Amino acid sequence: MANVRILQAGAAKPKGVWPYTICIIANPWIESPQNSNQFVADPIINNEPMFDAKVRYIVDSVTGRLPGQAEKMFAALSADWRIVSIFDPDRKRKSANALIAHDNTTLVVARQPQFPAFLRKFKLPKMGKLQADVAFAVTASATHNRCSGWFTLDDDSVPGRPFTVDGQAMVHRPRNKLPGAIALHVNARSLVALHEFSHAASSWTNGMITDLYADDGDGLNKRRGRPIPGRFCVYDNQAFAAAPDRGGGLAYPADWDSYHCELADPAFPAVMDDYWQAAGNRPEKCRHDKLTRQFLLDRVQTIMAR
Amino acid sequence: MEPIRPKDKQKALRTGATEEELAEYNRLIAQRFTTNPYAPKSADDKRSEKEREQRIADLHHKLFSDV
Repeated sequence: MANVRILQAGAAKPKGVWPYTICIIANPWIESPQNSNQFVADPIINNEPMFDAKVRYIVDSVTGRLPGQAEKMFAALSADWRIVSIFDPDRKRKSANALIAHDNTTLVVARQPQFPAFLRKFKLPKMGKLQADVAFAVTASATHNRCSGWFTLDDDSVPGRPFTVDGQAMVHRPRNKLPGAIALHVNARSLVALHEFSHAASSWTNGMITDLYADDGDGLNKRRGRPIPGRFCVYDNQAFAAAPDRGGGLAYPADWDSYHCELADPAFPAVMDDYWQAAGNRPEKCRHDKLTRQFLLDRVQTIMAR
Repeated sequence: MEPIRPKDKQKALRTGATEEELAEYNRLIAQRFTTNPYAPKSADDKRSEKEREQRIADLHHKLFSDV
């Protein structure tokens, strides 16, 4: 029988309007290999205590409550979020119930288009059918354990809060067509959940927050050119400086032409960079760069205000 | 996506991988995760995507099959 738990109800809203919502789901089936239409059982569905422990970890990592965690940007806001966990061991073997795929490496990959219909199957008292702004699917795959996330697909037909980045017009949208979607393995620890959440909470069409440990994969938080200029960008009429290095003693490799925004704490790499290289093996000390931080705060607050 | 875990990276380097190959692997996967799957694709886009995925699979086999 499905166990749907409302960990936080979130801010009071008019009927039919949801507060910012995170759903954390025990993944029932894995498409393996990806795009094969073949499905194997996800071991997480036989281990509810393990799922519950991972739910606690995800909430702690995203809201800045891990021991020693420095990035607490969502700590205050998250008190008004709705957070729901779903453990349903009775889902049949079919595509609609597989929220994760095994890719051609060891990455677990969220099947983002499956999430809205999966969530709508659950109806909560006085809240209605389940929906999400960002959703985590938790897996205990025996073969694939590297986590990943997809950006939110915004509903660009609804009005939102306009902004510009170096003159390019975009909009923080309060509604989505597909929630940001994350495949998170039970081995995940430290900043993994916050890092993937930060991808997923950004947008395919209104600003992608991308990985900073690879030269490719352009996004709002990555610029190109040498020499590195003093200014990174102007976002929402506010100037942001470029980072002369990647923080914590990490240099930009000589063959890169990308550079990043000024760090909130240059003693450590950014949350979107290779946090495993943080000095003293302390990834929890990493913080976001200043643009990523401001962009995500503005975007999440726009959605919270719907 | 999650950065490669240090123990996996060290094992790959010990078994003959190079930093350049690891960087290419990360670079190609970063391309995958920043290519909008919901946007229209041309025939060239589809061919490039297929080639990229094959290269990712080949690199993964070379770098991590012993990890």
